[in-house]
Amino acid sequence: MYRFISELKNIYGKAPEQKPESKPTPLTVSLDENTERLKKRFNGSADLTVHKMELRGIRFGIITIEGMVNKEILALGVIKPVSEETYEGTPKDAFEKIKSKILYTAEQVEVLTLEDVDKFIMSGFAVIAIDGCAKMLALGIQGFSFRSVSEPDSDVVQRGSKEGFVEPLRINMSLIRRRMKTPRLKFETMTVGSDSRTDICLCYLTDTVSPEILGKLKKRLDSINLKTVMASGYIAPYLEQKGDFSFFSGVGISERPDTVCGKISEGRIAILVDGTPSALIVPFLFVEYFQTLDDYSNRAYFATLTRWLKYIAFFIAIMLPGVYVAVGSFHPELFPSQLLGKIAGSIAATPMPLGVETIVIHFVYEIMREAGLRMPQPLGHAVSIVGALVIGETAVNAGLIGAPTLMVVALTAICSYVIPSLYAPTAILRFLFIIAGAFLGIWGVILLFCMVLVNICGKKSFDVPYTAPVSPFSMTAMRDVFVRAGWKQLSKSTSTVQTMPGTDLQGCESDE
Amino acid sequence: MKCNSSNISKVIFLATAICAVMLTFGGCMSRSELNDKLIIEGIGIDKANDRYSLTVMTLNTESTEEVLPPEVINVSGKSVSECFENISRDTGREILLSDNKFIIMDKFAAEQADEVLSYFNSSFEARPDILLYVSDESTKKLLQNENVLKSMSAEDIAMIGGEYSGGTVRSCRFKEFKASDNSGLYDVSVPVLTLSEDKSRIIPDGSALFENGKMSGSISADESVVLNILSDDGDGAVISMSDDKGESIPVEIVSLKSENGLRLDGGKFIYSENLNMTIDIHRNDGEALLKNKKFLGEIEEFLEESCSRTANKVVKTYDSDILKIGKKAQNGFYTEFSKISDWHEELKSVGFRFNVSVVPSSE
Amino acid sequence: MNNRGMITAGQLFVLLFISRVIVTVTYSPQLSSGDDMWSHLISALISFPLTLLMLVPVLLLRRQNASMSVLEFSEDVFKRFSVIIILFYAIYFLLVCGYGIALYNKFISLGVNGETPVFAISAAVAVASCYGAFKGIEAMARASGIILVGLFATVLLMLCGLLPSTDTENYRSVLSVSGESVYSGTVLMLSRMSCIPALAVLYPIVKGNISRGSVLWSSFVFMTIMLFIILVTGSLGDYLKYSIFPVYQAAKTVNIGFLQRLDALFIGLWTAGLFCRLSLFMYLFALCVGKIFGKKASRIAIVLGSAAVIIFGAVTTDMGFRSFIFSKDVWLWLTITAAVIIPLVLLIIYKIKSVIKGDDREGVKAHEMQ
Repeated sequence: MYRFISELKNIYGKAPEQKPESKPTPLTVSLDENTERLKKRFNGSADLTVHKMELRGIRFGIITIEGMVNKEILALGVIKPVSEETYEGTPKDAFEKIKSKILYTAEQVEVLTLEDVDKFIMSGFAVIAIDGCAKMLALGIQGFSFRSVSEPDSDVVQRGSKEGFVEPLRINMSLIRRRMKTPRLKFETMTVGSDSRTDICLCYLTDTVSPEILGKLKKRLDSINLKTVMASGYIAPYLEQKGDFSFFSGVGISERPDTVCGKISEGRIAILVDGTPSALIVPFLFVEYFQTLDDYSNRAYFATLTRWLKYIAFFIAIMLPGVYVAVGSFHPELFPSQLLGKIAGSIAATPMPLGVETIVIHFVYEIMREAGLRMPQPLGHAVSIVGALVIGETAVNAGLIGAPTLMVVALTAICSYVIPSLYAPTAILRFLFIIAGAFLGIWGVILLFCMVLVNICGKKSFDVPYTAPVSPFSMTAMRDVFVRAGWKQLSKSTSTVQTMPGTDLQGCESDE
Repeated sequence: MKCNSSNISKVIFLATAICAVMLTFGGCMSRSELNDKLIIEGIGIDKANDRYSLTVMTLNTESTEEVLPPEVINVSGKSVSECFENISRDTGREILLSDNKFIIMDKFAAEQADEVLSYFNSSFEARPDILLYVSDESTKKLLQNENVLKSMSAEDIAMIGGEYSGGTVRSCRFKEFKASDNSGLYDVSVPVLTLSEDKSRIIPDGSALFENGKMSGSISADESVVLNILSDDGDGAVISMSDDKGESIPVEIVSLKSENGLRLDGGKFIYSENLNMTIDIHRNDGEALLKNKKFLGEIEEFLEESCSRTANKVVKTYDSDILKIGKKAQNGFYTEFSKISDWHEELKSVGFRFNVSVVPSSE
Repeated sequence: MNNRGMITAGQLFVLLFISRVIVTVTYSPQLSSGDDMWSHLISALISFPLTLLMLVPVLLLRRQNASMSVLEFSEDVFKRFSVIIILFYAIYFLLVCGYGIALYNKFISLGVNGETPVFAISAAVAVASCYGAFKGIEAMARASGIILVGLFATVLLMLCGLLPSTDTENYRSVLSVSGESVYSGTVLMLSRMSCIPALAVLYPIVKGNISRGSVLWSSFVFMTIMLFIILVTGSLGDYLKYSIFPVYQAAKTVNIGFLQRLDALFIGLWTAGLFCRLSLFMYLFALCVGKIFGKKASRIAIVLGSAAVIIFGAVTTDMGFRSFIFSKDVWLWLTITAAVIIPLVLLIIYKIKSVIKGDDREGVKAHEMQ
């Protein structure tokens, strides 16, 4: 046991590898040399395209990645105007003329190093190089294929916009900009991932955001030492507080630009990741799991009802199986008499103890859920039939599982999907509560609940207490927590996330 | 994600500690499943020659689709606890008392009720709101009657007394019995059960009176009704009077309000009660009778006389302080009460004053 | 151990309220002179002003320097010899945890179900409390706010269940209450005021009006105690005369429509209150150890303290209510020493030293909690 712990320490306790500091490689004046070096960097990759031409005595090179640029714009907007011009003077003069007078493209960036050339051509830019000039010009004429803006799969609302984020970062930025037509909205781009060099963008309102939170966020993003960042989920753990182990995340995720805009207006910061159709939002509080855009589109009374349904569904989803097992195993007096008889009869008919039976059914359900997510669509019907028949009817008739237990599992499963973003912690906690209830009855369930509660209460998201404004309590903020007050009330004062109760009591939390 | 090694060790240590404790000492080794338990819904206790005979109604869990009649098991033993052990041994299942709804004692067991019910004092599963009854005959005969089992469930039997009896008998729960036993200042009455004429149902038939936790006597059904009235529980009760021709006149008490009080008069306690009733008569000439003031006066006299007779019988003949006169005396006259050495002796000299006024329900 | 930042006065007093009230629900007349609860109504009325008096030394100490707890004051006044005082508080807080577990074990074995594996449950409570102490005072304070809602719902449920069956005849005349039972009830209630020493150690990290909070806290505590006494006595009267845990017995009788036999639910909610109490005092114990031996030692102290509490609970399971563990006189003296005598002595010596020095001393700065 001790050796096991020591080995784990060795594995996880290793100091992070020191990245060798790489100096940028400046471009030379020779076109051939630059292009050779570029080809060498790409190891002769087939998609690197270098087109050299000589026009009026000046040698040009156009460097692109196959499939990334819009060929029509390249031909008509770049090559045609460049080739129709006359050039006098040095190659540098030609470069300046091309840059300022000839090209029809809106986005142009001067590039001075090979690393920047890599970055731009792999971002879909076309790069023009001139022999004799140690600079290149990157032109924003991206033409790669991407998915069109459509309704997000998981963040579904009834009465809101049907637009969701897509993979390209720029389009996502435009979706946000269209909704927040204020110059105070600022986008700051950064790069993460030493190999993937994924672009990320911080979005916030300059006069609303907390400078401390922004500084802390940038520091944490700088500390990311991943090689590749393929999805926003890769960087989400880096945004959590260090040493903070919790089932619930302190980083929110949204696929909807309207939701993100709402969060930004409360002083939060959204992080868009290139290649991922969702945005990360920090700071993120626990009560936000229960808030959706539909709450603000519907009438206040109905929104309050749906919010309460979510709270109740959450508690049912994590605690019902555990309480059921605890009561059935240790405190049967809690059941009404008629129900007691039925449950006793169903337990008598099955071979497994109640706790084991509940865990087994949950495992089978999780397997079916995972299979339903991954399998090809044509097989969907087959899985539904198998699931309904095997688990629903046949297993009960065969006496393998009891009908009350199946009913509990079904209700729990339905309640889990009321808040899809909470599914992961709910699934794990459910199992823990079942185990606690099976071993220690209602005591185990309550003690585990207390531990989870303390875990949530001790968590902070960028120094904002995670359970604010419930605890620490704020009466004003309650207008949008357990009830959704009318818009007249909500518009009276705008509170920001950094003014949540308890935030001012924090000491300066270091990230060490 | 960077992992803090001390956090990992901490988590592993805690998790191991919790699992080790839970798995080793969780008690799951000796826990039995719900289906391995005998769920008792009703208990009957008979006593004869220092031996107890226990008859239990248990929940039939053989079918989850339809409600089956309860199973009835009978064992005997030297004590109630030995009887339960015998049931466990014979059936191979643990007893679950938390769903028990009633306890019926036969008259011999009721005479030692405090001893008989002591098992339920110490049982953690026994509920304080179990209903107590006394049986006219053997509880085994009562509970094993097939017609009764077909027509009445344990809940039906439990609801015989109190508000479901139409004001004829007062229900008594275990906590009330135990309170009177602990107090020593007042007593309880427990409904007496018997089989109906067609032997298909169990019905109430009077009340058993207790003194200091032991049955001291019983009163008839009519006297039970009067006792209910005196205890401010007579709504819906029906009293039978006779008219000049000897025919029965059923007088229903639609609503009842009573005010009672205790005073000290020359060193003697006088208990007085004012009863204001709204009545109805369910007979063809009922309306006419109710308009007859002389008849109303006769009802009042009849009721006053019945109350006085019943109160004297209960308190003085059977030494049963159902009316909680002792409690009232202790609360209202503590100094004088503390000088009394034996309240039950003093009780015999308590005087009663009853004043009844009736109003027809049509008014 | 995570403990940075402050908590509000409201959060602290909610935590202290839960810690105190949870002991009330496991109240047993066998811990005093064996009388029933009704006698202790007057004890509660007497204990309330006495509790306010007990709070005075701590509040006066705070007024001298709000950033120094009683531990820092002892360091300032007694220098090296302050170790004795800090050790006293450490042992006191650990004993409070032990008392809580021992009483809870008795409650389960004698009141709830004698066949329940008491060791497993007390171990689980101790381990959970250990985790709570690790998370720090902020997490506990916030969690207690949410647990208070559950406890409030429990009390409301009991009120709704027991009020209809209240009989005024069960309220005995005041003349029937003996002076001895009033005295022993008062001693019992005052001996359980371990929240006052807790306040003495915690007030430097509390923001808000502590004086008002203390008065409100003690008012609500005694109002709750009196409510329990009146409710339980009125509804069940003599039934509870020889009951070991009358409040739990009363909870067993709560029936509201189809909601019946809810005592298991009440036990669960009360266990949450015990969790708050043990977490708080385990944290305070670790704080005291950390003062003497350093921050790292405080983390180890939590684990060792929990183990000690579990062993203590196991050893005392078979001890009767008359043993020294439950002796109200011993606890009264310990509590008065921790809550009144030590703060008063520190206050007097600090004042004298200030007068001699002739200027306001800052003293030892409040040790920053980690």
